[in-house]
Amino acid sequence: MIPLVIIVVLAEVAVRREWVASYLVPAPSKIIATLVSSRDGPELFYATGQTALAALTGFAASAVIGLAVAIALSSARWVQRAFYPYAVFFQTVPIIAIAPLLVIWIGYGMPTVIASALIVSVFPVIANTLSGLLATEPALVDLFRLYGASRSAAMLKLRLPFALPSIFTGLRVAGGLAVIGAIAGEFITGGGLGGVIDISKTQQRTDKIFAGLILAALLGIALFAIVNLASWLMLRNWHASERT
Amino acid sequence: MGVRLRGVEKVFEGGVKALRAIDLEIGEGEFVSVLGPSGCGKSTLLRIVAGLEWASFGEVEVGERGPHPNPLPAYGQRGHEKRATQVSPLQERGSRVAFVFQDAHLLPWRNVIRNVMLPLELLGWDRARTRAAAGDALSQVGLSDALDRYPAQLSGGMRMRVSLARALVTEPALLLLDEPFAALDEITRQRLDEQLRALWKARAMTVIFVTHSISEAAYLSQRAIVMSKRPGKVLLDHRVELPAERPARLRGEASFASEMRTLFDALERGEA
Repeated sequence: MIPLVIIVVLAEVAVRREWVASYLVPAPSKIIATLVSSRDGPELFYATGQTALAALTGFAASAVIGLAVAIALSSARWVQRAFYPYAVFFQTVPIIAIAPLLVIWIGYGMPTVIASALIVSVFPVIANTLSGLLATEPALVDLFRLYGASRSAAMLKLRLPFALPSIFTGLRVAGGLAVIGAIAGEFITGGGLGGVIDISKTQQRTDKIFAGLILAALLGIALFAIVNLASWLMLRNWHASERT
Repeated sequence: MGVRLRGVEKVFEGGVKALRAIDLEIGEGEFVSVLGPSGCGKSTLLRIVAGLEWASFGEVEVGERGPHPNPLPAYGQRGHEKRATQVSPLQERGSRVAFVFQDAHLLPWRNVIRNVMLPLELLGWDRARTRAAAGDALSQVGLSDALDRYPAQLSGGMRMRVSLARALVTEPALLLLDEPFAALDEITRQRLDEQLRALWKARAMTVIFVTHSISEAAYLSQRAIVMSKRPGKVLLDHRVELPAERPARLRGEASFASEMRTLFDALERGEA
């Protein structure tokens, strides 16, 4: 908390004394004024809502799709060899470069933003879930075999619970990335915080850009906190990462 | 449940030979220890009997059912088990054979009672019966007051007892233990040895106990088998001449020392 206060105070002083031009870095007080002003405030909060909706939907989609893909990939070595490279593709291709394509395919509007959030955030879910599923304790797998457990029983009662800590690691990363993906999508399609920031740029409104940045960061932190809460609820009894 | 191995050999992928020409007959209700240096293939032998691993050559019979059924199906990931596509009558086998690993290997997200319920759950028992049976098994190992605790909250000895209860809950006719108490301190280990012997005497089950501890083998078993270093073969098949009642003080007596001497000599020959 203390470093934050120091930085804010320093920024305020620097701008007021005109060490830095205010069109480059707005004074913190100005940013707050913008956030609560009757002209920009409602617009910013509405935009935050839009981005939140798109990021959350994209995040949920990447959680579901990521889990499903990882389970499918873990089923056999050859499936992994054949299809994992395509999952890696999502990780390596820059979203800014695909976004225009998404607009052509899906059109302007929220679906494109959701798709963008999904594409950016799905890989960490796949990769972490897969490594969790494949790391299942061999002795426990033997135990399940000994009692004639079906594949699905082994998945539900052993592999998935065993992979939960890794799954949550993936989801934590995915949460932040989903917000980034949504904003990147909004740069192209308009709307949401990405849209507001894009327009403010052309108007030289650094105060509004900073306000948007702060809201976007808060959104990412909120998603991270939700994942952490879920992780704590599910792992607190047994996993070292959630025990204090 | 009896076990008969005839000319069993095991060669791992990559050519490592783990077992050679194992002939072994274990009668119903016997308590047999298998001793040997580390890496001599005694664990592999146990896994073959359990059906977790193939014998490369030879015949394995477990119980009434003639030649050994195929190894239990693996779930795809481990290469050398890919052959195991044929399905054996698992439900029946599963309830008759139990395996205790070197570490407790409990499911950390399940509390004690639900860990012990697991085998019955997998065998498709209904929940009420499962719970009652798990409670019984846990009281037999003296853990009735720890039902709701999680593995992370237990000591190593308690975890091992939960693991033992999990193996006993299906009332197995054949109990296989792979160096189960090796990681425990001496006192805890002796207590568990006594407990295991009492459980064996109370039930009509065959026990195969793999260990590298000579005193454990002498104290526990009616019969001790000593294996050579890899590729393992049977060096000594020895009837332990100790009374059926084995109080803790037996460990200090001359007859016990002479049994240990016999086993030690055989082990040493195997190392040479």
